[in-house]
Amino acid sequence: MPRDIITLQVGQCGNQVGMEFWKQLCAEHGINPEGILEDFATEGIDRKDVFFYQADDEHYIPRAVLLDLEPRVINSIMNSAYSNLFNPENIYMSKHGGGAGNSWASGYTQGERLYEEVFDIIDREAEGSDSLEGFLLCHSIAGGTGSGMGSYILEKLNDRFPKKLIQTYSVFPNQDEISDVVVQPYNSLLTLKRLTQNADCVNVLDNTALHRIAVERLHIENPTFQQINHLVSTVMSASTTTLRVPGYMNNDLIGLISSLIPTPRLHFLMTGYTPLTTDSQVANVRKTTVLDVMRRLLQPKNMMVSTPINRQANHCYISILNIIQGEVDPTQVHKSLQRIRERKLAQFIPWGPASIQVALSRKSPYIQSSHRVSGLMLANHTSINTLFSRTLSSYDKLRKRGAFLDQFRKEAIFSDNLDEFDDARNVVQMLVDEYNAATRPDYQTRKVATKK
Amino acid sequence: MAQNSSNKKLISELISQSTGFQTGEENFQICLKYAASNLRFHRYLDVDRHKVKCLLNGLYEKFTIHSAQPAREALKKAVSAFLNKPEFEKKNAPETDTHYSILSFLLEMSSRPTSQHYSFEEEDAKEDDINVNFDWYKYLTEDLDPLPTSFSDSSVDSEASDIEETIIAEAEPFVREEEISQQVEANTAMLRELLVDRYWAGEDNSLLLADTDFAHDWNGHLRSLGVFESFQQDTYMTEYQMVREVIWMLSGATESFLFLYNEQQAVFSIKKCVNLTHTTKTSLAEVLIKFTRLATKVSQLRQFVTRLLKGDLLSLECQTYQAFSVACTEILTQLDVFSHQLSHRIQNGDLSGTLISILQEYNPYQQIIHILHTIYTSAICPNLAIAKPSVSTAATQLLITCNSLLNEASLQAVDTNTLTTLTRVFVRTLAPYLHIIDEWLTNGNLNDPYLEFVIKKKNSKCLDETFWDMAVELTTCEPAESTDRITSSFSYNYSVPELLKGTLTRIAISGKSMEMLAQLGKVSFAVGESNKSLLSAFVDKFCSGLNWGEPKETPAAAEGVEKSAELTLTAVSSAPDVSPLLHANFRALFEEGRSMTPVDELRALSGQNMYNMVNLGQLMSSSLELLVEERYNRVSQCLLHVLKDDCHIYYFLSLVRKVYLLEAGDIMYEFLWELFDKIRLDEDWKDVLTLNVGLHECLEKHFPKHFFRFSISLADDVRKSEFLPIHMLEKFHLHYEVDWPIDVIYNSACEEQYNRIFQFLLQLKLAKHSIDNLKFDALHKKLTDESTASYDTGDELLEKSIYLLRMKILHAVNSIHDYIMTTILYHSSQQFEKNVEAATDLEMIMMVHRNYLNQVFNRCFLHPKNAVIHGCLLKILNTALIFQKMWDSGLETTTWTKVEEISLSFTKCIQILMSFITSLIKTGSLPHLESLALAFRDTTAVS
Repeated sequence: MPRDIITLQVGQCGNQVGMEFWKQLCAEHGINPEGILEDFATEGIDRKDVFFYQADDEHYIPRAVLLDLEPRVINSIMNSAYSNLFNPENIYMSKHGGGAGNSWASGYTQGERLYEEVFDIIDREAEGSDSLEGFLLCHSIAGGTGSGMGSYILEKLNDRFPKKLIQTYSVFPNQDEISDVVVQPYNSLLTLKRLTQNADCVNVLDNTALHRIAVERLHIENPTFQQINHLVSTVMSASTTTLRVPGYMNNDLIGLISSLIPTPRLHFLMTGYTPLTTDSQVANVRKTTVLDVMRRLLQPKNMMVSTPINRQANHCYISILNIIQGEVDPTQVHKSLQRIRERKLAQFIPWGPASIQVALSRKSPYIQSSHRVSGLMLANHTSINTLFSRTLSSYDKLRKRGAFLDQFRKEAIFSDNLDEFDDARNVVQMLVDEYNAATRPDYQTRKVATKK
Repeated sequence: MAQNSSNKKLISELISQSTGFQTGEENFQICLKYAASNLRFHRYLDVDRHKVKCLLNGLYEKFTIHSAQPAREALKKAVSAFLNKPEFEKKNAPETDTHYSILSFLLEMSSRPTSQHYSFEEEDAKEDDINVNFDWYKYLTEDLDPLPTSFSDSSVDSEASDIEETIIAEAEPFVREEEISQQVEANTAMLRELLVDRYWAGEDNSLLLADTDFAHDWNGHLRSLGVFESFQQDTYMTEYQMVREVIWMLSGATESFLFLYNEQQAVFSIKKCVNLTHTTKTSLAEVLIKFTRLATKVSQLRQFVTRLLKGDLLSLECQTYQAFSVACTEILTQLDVFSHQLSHRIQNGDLSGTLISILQEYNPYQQIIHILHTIYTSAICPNLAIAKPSVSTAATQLLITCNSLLNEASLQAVDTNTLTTLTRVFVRTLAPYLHIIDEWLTNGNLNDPYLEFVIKKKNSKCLDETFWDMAVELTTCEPAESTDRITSSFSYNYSVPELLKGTLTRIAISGKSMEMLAQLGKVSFAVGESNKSLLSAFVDKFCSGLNWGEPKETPAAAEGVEKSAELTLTAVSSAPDVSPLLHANFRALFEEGRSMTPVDELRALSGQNMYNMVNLGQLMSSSLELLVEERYNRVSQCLLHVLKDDCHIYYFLSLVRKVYLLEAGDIMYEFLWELFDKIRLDEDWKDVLTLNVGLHECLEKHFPKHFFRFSISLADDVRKSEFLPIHMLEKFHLHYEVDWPIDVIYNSACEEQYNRIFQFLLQLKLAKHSIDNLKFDALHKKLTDESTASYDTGDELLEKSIYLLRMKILHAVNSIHDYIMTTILYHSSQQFEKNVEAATDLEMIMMVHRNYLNQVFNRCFLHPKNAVIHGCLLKILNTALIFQKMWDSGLETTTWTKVEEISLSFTKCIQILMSFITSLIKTGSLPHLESLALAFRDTTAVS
């Protein structure tokens, strides 16, 4: 049964997020930073081989490929306690170390150039696993390496491994702040196209929402990258928990996401997690029950994607999967679902069957948590298209003025024309339209868009 | 002795005079001391009234013995007259020392008072009155014979007699009409022969027939001659004689003058025409009939005991009967001893020898004999009559009767002695049962040579899955019943002794547990600290429950069970006259609520009605219950411990769940994935060998020690009226081989159920797998080969409708999947684990497991009554397979009609399912269903 997952961390953001993810996984599986199983964890029934493999000396090595065009982040990883965790052969840093200069085009071109080397690593890793189910890509869509090189890798992965699932954790830029990356809209748009066409499932992590959550929910005034990344890693580990801890439910990635995605393009998922705490906030007065957790998950403020407050009434959920962790009585789940239904807390699409699906999972015994129950929501919600339309509008602003296009033209893909931009815009526009259409009852009979 | 010094002088003089010792010699001192002490402490040479009185009494007796009653009377009269004359010592008091001195002197003078002949004025005193007050026989045999303790030969003992008075009584019929002179002579000769002369008179005595009662023999003789057949005349007896006969009869003599004995039925009856001079016939009969009744009961009991001892009752021979007979014998012996003492007392004149007083004397025995006899007639006699009696029924019946009579007695507040004796009898009778139980519970050995125990071994040498169910059975069960499971069908009818009713299940479980431990060779684990036997422990408990205090057990605790029990029993029987129980009962009756003993308080608190306060049966069963409970706890715990630690029972059970119920998710999934892929690609998967290899490969990683226990076989053909692709998985049969102790829990019936569930889960997983793994690319596969230009709007709509159908099917399949996995399996197994943890014995574990399995089985709609729902579910799952086939063939080959067809049938299925589920929910039979219904409501809402 295919279930191994290879994690690809691309770019500065991707590696930072990925690093946090691995820390979390190690803690949950009882593996120390050296990759050696802690004594207390030897009896565990969890499946470590989904994300790790064992070297000859029995120590655990993550199925991770670390890629970056500049050495700063990876070097800091290699200088941390976790330096011995990763397989050094799986770490690729660009030789000249210049990075992508925040340009998608540069990242894409360099990815193209480094194709052989990068895919040597990926191929080796893929062949090394008995039963590969898919890939997990961590990147941001705003920068250069993560977006550009990530896009290229996405395209190629699809070619090389057509049967494998590709799931991404894509960090969307913060819209509230003025970014130092001026070409951010270009980068985002071009990456979105690949995410739409080449990924099977995209978990959208909106920096705007993450910041908001850090500030509002965790009461951190100026959240650091690490704190934000910790949020991300929590979500990532929770969403893979059913794969890692055997249970009755969804033991494969495909089972997890198939029900969430009704049509090929509508595969952008929002996530929500509750309860969230930081270390400083251990003392907790809350009583966590299944209903409580599920109700909180449906609140927009716990969503890790920020959607406009002025909600158009017709935005709705296409599908929801709640992964509930902890000691749960299955009968509570049913009661909670009924309650939510009675209160109409969730608005579903009018054109198809939809309900909240619940997967129960155990908590890692090695991590002390003050909460009895915690929950992660993976939701396919039509309002996510506001994120894309925002990208579109800011792209349009830049494009109208023809700003910053020079550095793109330098690269091969744009050397002849800028058709790629138009194509990408078109794809994203279709995506936005399809999400809009999905809010209407006539979605199934209506033509969404005509192909140009 | 005031003048000490003068006395001393005189004494020393006397000594030196008489002995020649000189003062100062050692011997002189000794003599002096002796004389002085004699002077000081004795009335030297005084007459001793006591001695004189004794002497006189002896003389009276001597006269009596010498048949010189008149002399005795005369002497007595003279003596008392003399003694009462206040003539001496200048005192006006009778019986002075002088009186006695004279008497003593006179007695010394008369050398042979008995040899003298005295003549009296009233010499006409009737001779036959002489002996009225004296029992010759008793007197003569007093020191010669052993006490008639043994009933079997007592008749011989008690027959020795020679009483002349009877001749006088019988002499009358002797003077008869026309008798052939020869006959008369013969008769006279015979009479002479039988006639015993006064032995003490020193006359020539004829033969002393030991076994004869004169009149009786005479009559017998006449009867044998056939002469006086028709003639019956009233016979007159003295009450004294009657009393004697009564005592003889009660001691077991079968031949007597007064009573007739029917050998066959061991029944005594009164001979007609016997009169007592001073009572009417009716009143005499009334009294005598009571005696005959008692005697009949006694003799019947004796007969029973004898027959048992002789081995006449082979078909009914069992330890319980033997124990009962021993208890009976004990009481009968007591009765005999009592009879003997009674006759003694009569003879000594301590007791007036009237029939009524004798009857009263026998009163305490009457009740106990009556109860024993009731037990005998109601419990034993019916079984004697049956040609092929069941020993265990007989034994149980005996115990039941004993118990109920004991209860009755305790409720009727009969006197303490009876109660005590009865308790003793009951405990005695129960002892074999307790021994059997004890042996079974301590050594796992159901040692029951006579098959009398209520539980019997069915199959001694079966070490397979049926062990627990088939090991033992109720012996008294009807044949039809015995096929049922033993514990579940322990129907408490007449077949189980009252006392054991509450504990029988426990006993059976512990016994079986012990046997299991014995088979596992772990008996030593279960041995408790106390090596007290169950019987003695039971008696202890019972006594302390009665507040009779700890039995006075002798230090040697290690002595035989029987002995200690015996001691306890004596302690019980020697309880104070007023039993605390009766006392308590009395108090409770009249001053309720005031200062009760703890026992009473307990009883009163438990809301029993006050008669139950002394319900001995209840007390017994509760004390037995405590003991059994104790043993049960020990044994069960031990067995569980062994099963857990040595047989890893929990591990095996969890293994079963992991494999059959796919609990561990990925473990089996690895194997299934391959299978599903093959099915999906229409490859041949029905190769048993490949399947087994695949299964073992995937299990080996996780259970390297046990993977080989699982094997797959495929059924030949599944005959179904309607064969859908989904049905092919029903051929699948997974076999799990377990070792002996575990297959008691995991038996073949369980395996069958597990397999059914397993098949259903496979079908579910296959459907889910098929629908999950539909890649969007696959639909476009053919499309991309050509140009994307042919992608027109019609296709787009078709595509969308396919997507939507996928979504619907996916949603339905997922809903079923979630429902089964979460609500059913997860929830049930959580509860199962909890219940198993709480289980205290193997039986409970089995029950919990069975319930769990049944629950899962039912909730997966595998029960026949849910066949419709199951069929619908399968159709839905099958739709997923059909849809997957269509999808995989690509968009190009798909037509609208095909999609609509699938969609239509799917919708129909859902609707049917929904209506069934809704009606089921309304009846409330499956409360869990609501969550499934909830999920489906979404599906139907849009379709």
